[in-house]
Amino acid sequence: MGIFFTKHRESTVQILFVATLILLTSCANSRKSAQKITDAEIRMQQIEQVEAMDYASAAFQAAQSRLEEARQLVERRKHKKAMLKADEAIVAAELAEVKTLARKADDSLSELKASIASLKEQLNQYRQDQ
Amino acid sequence: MRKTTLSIPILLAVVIVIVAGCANYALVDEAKKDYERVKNDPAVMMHAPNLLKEAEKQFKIIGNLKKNGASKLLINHHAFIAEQKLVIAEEMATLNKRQDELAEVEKEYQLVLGQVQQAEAQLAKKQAVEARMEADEARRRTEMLSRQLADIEAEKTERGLVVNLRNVLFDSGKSDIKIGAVDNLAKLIRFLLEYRDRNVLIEGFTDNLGARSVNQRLSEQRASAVKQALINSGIKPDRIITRGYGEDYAIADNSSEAGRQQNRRVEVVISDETGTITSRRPVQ
Repeated sequence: MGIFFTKHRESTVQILFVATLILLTSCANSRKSAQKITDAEIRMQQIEQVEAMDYASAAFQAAQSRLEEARQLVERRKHKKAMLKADEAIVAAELAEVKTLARKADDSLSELKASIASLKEQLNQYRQDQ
Repeated sequence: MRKTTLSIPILLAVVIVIVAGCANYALVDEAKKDYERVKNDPAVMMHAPNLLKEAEKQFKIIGNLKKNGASKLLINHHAFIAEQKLVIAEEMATLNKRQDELAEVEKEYQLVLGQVQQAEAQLAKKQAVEARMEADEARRRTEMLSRQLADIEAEKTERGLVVNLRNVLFDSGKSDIKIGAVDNLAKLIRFLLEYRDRNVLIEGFTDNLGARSVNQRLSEQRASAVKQALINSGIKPDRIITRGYGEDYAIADNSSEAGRQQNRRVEVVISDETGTITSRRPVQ
């Protein structure tokens, strides 16, 4: 072993260096993908709170399925692909949130217009009574 | 032969390169098409220019990835991000538009609400004035009623207001109203013409001279004589009820002429505003 190490010292160092590098890169990717999935999960919780599943169900489901895919990829140790899917989940969640806010604004607008119509009717009644 | 064997892998590699070069990036094409449409939307330019820039950034990344022969998966990922950013930009523009509309409609709501509140206040003021006027009118009517009741000498009894037409006198055994008593009746008639919600019960009485049955009939005739006088003056018959009590319910001693004259009388019970009159208690 000692003779082998002495004889192939330079090659052994190079192999060990590459192996360490691969290990470190793999660990870093694992941490990054876990962080991305956590970010996506937080975004999902946020859009659940604004009732995105009711107001923007397609976008909500798109985000949810991508998050699920990311989780499965992590289990299969495909961290880079998992990060991509988690990123997609985050951006899909962003779309679901904006869509939800736009739909809610639509509803508020309709309600406010209905209130105005009702107030105008009331006003006409008062004017007739006077 | 060797020449041919070598050329097959080379040819295969060339074909792969060509196919890879012409790879069909449908997602990228779609995203680019959407970008061309969205970038010309003034609402997006106004409300979400940063999202357009983010999409442009993704297209640059896609360009570089293609140059470097990156995987289709990675390219499609960036195409997806670009596409989503464009849709978000459109939704953001819609949201901002709605928020602007909401602000305008909110202003209109406040304006109309103010008008309604003003109208409510005016109506309440008007109703208060009307209520005060009604109260004044009711007070005036009450005062007038009190004056008129005093004028016709109405007495408050447990049966209500009772007017004893003392001056409406009858000769013994007669039911004709004496001349001179008509003036006394006139006040009652004026009262009944004024207060049309009041009904009357006219009760006739006699002294104790003569047979009871004759007195009974005579008392009824006296009450009817007063009723006729009221009808002749415009009081509707359905407001008038008559009763004869003969010599019952005497109010004076029948042993003297003065007492008997007082007993030959007619009493008028005036109803309350609902037209109700309480019946007289039977003789004990």
